[in-house]
Amino acid sequence: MLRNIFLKTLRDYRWQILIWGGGIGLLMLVYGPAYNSVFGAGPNRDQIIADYKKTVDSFSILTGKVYDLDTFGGFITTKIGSGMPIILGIWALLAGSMIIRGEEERGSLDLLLSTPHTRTSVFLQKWAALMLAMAGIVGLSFLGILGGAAAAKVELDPVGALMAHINWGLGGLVICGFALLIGQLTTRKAAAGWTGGILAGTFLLNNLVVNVESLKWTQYINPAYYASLSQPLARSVGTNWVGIIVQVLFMVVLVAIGLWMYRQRDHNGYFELRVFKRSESVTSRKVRLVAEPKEFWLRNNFTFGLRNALPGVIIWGLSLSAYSLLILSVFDDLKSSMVDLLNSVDFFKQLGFLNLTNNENILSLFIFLFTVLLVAAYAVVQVSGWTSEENSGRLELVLSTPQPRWRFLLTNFGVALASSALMVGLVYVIFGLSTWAFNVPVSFGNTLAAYFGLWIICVIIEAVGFVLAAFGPGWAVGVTGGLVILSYLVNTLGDTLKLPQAVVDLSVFKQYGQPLIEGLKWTPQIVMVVLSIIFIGVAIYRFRQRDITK
Amino acid sequence: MSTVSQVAGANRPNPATGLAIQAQNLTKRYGQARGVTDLNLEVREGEVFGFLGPNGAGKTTTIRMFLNLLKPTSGRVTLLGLDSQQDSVEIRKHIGYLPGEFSLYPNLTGAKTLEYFANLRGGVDWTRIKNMAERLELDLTKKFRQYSRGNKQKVGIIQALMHHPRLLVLDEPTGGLDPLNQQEFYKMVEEARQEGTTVFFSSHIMSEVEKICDRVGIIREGQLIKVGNIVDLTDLKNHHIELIFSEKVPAEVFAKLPGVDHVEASSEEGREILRCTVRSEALDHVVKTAAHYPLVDFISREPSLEETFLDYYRNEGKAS
Repeated sequence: MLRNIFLKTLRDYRWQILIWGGGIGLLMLVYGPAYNSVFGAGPNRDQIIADYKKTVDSFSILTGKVYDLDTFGGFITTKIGSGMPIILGIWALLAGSMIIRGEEERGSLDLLLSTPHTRTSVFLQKWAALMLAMAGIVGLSFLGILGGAAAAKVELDPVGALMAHINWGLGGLVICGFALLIGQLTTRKAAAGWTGGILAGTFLLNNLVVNVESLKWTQYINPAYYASLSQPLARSVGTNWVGIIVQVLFMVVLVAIGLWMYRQRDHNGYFELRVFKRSESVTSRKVRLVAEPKEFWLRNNFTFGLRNALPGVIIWGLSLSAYSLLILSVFDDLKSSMVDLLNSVDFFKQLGFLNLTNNENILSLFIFLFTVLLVAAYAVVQVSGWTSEENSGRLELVLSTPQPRWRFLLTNFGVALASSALMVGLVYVIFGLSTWAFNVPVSFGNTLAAYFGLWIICVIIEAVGFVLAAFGPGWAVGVTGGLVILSYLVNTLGDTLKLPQAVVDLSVFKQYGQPLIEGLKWTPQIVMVVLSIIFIGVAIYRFRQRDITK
Repeated sequence: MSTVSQVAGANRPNPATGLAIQAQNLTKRYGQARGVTDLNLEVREGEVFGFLGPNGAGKTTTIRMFLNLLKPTSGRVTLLGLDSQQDSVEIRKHIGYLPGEFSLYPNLTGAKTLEYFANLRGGVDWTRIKNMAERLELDLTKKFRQYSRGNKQKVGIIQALMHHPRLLVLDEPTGGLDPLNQQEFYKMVEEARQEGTTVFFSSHIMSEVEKICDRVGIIREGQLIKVGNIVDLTDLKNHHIELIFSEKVPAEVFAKLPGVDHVEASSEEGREILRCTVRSEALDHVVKTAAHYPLVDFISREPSLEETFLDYYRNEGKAS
């Protein structure tokens, strides 16, 4: 396995193939028995299928369409078919941003390029290994679905199952292509972030198009649309070869552009179009002497931290605003097409959307259900920014200056809070202006409360992240992110899973509630602020006591 | 920002001991793993102290405890008469530190990086930064990520020296510097010393230690095994002696002398040659013993500090 770059790269993927492929395969394996237990073969089967279809249909904005629930293939397509591109997409964006840019940042590509291999050869061998790794992951999933069908003794078309996996794998490789291409323009982390945005954006847009006629044009440039054209496991849809071919073309074009950029740019540099390249001024002296850069942002830790956070504030703020703008721009279409359906389903009442005829309810469902999670993700990114100070080794030098540790931690926490406030504030202002521009009246007080509540969510998540970082900067971000996801799931599925109310109340999203509809509950907000202060106190105590890691 | 110049001697702690660094029974353990064990060390104000040891000996761990980046498992350190943990912030006002490995902000230019660090220190005279950049041939307009390893090191050196620190702690500072810039750096250290700055200098490059240090401490497997003047270390040197006789001499007579090792006798071109390594204090015995035999020639070669260092480690290794 160490004979060439291709095999070595494939070897590096072996655990990922086993973990991701094995995990998805196991999921597929249990879906066979699950299908039998949900629908069985009793006399009420048709009624159960009709009820199930009605419930799942109401999720279509989140999960996509419902297909042929009377077959195991249709059940799988409905249940996991729309989620697979997201699951594989997450692996794809991580892998795609890692193969060239990630290895470059790690320093391992330097040595590889010192061997007699061209950049094209290195790039293509790595890409080929990545494609094979994706094939390995979907291959294990394919075996899982075959095993699940055999175990449950349900009928399954193996060719359809194979084609479904090829389609899912292709969708993942398109996302890999995006990550690889964007990685030529920016850092690995940024490439992964931007690709994540593309993955979420294309997925949501494709689902939204089902209900909003005026957005239909977007599907022709949306790779998620071409992936959704083929549903080989659902007999009413089958395989759409145009969809498959367009996905292949997407992948080839993205990879080709990525390769071209990689060949053009400097190693460890970023691709720049020649017309935008800044010409280096030629000086006769070896050393260019510069005046003191009396920049406001370099004055102290706080202003400096804010300077570093501002690009993120703008990118996240504008991205979230763009989504709000999109929803508001098609609000009337959305309202008329969704209200009847939403009102007929109990699930949304469980989530707190009691009256789906007014603007606040619909906006709360379409904007805030996602926005709250994305704002939480932004807070996790702030925690990541703090831990990276230490993990990257920068803290070593900063703490050699006369900064008390407690002040440095507090200043950075202040930066996280301020940047979150700026980001949420930016989204609030654009949302407010958009509701006015698109003539969608909403309660001013509740809107303000909803955005203020978003900031409180940032405060508590950042405080939790900082206290965890005070104990282990290496694992704090992962654990904080896990807690956020757990908290979201507990709030969303608490009633369905019949979790004790005390457990559901621990979710920050539960405490956030539906402020656009019913205002903000102030007591939980105050509790979260007090808890944040306590967490930061503990973080300071621990940070002062412990070793600085390298 | 401001251009407040901090000069040597201004607003400084004034230790009565005259010691810039005093470590007492300093110990650091990482679980069961060894870090540093019972390290006792005194570095006098105004001296350049070399801290020698092979990779993994505990040099960086010791330095990071000085800076309060690592908390000692036991023992204590005072820097400039102040406790490294209790008075850490006050100490850092007077310290310049260059870590062995460091990272800075990739998208910030060298100038902005140094301005930021200057501001964290309450302001530094920009002319000094500019002068040092010029001396080290560092282009301050480039972004940190565009710098080569050596140029990154120069940014680190400037940030350590720019505020006229009273104590300079340098962890392998010349890594990545070309020979010309190394020479310039040595001059800067010498100038700092002339201003009264104490320099604590970790390295495994013997030539630079020999060149700029007054005293040297040797650390091995977490324990300080030797501290002495460069001259003292020279005394440790095993002189390589070649004695040429006109007739055969009993080698065992020399081998039995205290401080004499590796005795080898051979015949070459009709002459009887006896080679051995002799510690400085045993030289007198060897000369007097050789005088009993028909001595034709006497050649003594003093090894470099590097050879001494390696010998020392080898011997200590055998002893342990």
